[in-house]
Amino acid sequence: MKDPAAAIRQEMLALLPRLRRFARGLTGHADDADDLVQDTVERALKRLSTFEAGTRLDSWMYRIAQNLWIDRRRAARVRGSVMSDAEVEHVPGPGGEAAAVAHLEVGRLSKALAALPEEQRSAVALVLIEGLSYREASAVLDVPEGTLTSRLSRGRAALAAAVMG
Amino acid sequence: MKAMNYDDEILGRYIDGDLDPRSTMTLETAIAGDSALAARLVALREVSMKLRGEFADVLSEEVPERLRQAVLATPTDMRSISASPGRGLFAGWRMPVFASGAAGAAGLALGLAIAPASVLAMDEDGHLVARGTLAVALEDGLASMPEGPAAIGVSFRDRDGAWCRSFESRAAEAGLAGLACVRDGVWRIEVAEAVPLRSADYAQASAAMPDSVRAAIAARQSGEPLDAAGERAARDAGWK
Repeated sequence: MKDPAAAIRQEMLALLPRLRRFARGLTGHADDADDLVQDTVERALKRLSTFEAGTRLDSWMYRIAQNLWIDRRRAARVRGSVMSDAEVEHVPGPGGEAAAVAHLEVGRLSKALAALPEEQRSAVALVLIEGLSYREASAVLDVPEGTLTSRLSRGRAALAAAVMG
Repeated sequence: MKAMNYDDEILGRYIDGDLDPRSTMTLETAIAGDSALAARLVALREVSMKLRGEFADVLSEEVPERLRQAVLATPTDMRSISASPGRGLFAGWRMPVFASGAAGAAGLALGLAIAPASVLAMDEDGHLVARGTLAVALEDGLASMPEGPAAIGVSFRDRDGAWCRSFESRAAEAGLAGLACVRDGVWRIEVAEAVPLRSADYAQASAAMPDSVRAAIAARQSGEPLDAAGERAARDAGWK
């Protein structure tokens, strides 16, 4: 039988790079990020019937990723095994030896991002990294636009302080 | 400090292109005459640029094969939904035609003049299935959480051992009460009937459950309906 999800699967394949980037920002760790993307894809496909026709697939999947990540953090906290900030791997990997100075700065910004409260980090990742509009990001996070704006603003101010620091 | 936060928000909106033209003009005028504000703008803008630059590499990385395989090989709960060729999966869903033989064969007692297509779809075998907000509520909802676009009534196993749940949907400005039972991970509509749209309070809704739904429950129910704890446990186990 023809796979009725074939078209959606193709769309998802095209979304993988962006989902990986979003997850990298959320988790601050390359392997954790890919685990999260895999869980997100599996959850999305197993529950494809809950996808609202005519809405954006990318927003829906960002949302699933976000919710899975929150669940995972909560579970980790219950087990008492949450990583300390010092253990958080600096984000995009060692980016080459070419720019040692830039590398230092990169480490600082990544650490600052990883140290943000969860709700600020997701707002920053969606708007500043993924380039979603405020409206789209607030829909993904299921919060009013004003809440999104203030989380984003606080997160950005903390990152600016870290960059200047 | 309050004023600073306020300025940061406005500056942020400006940087993110989310500020309306009029406020943009006002802000640009202010920046021209205020070096501290201008410096702040530069600092905040730098955050966006650096972050974006830092994460840009992820996009050009090769996607791990396990992720591609997850996309291509994970079974989907949509396998029985028909798609019209050339129109994309969801465009192929059609409004259920209740007078059709297929629906009749499924034993539906539907008194619907119009069906909210956002929550119902017809699968290839002519079964009506839940989708959208109704599918979400059937999968995740609890009777104790009646708010939202769909509310759950009772949950029980039918005589074949399949889980069934009564529901009331308020999606798309149309009230719909019914009973759905899960088969192979898909919530099939056993019976559904249009009901008057209640404002928000589902509390009295069970009192107004249509006779067709009551009859369908009575005909299928085996044993007692789930209590709150049982309902939660069955949900968390994925209605297996």
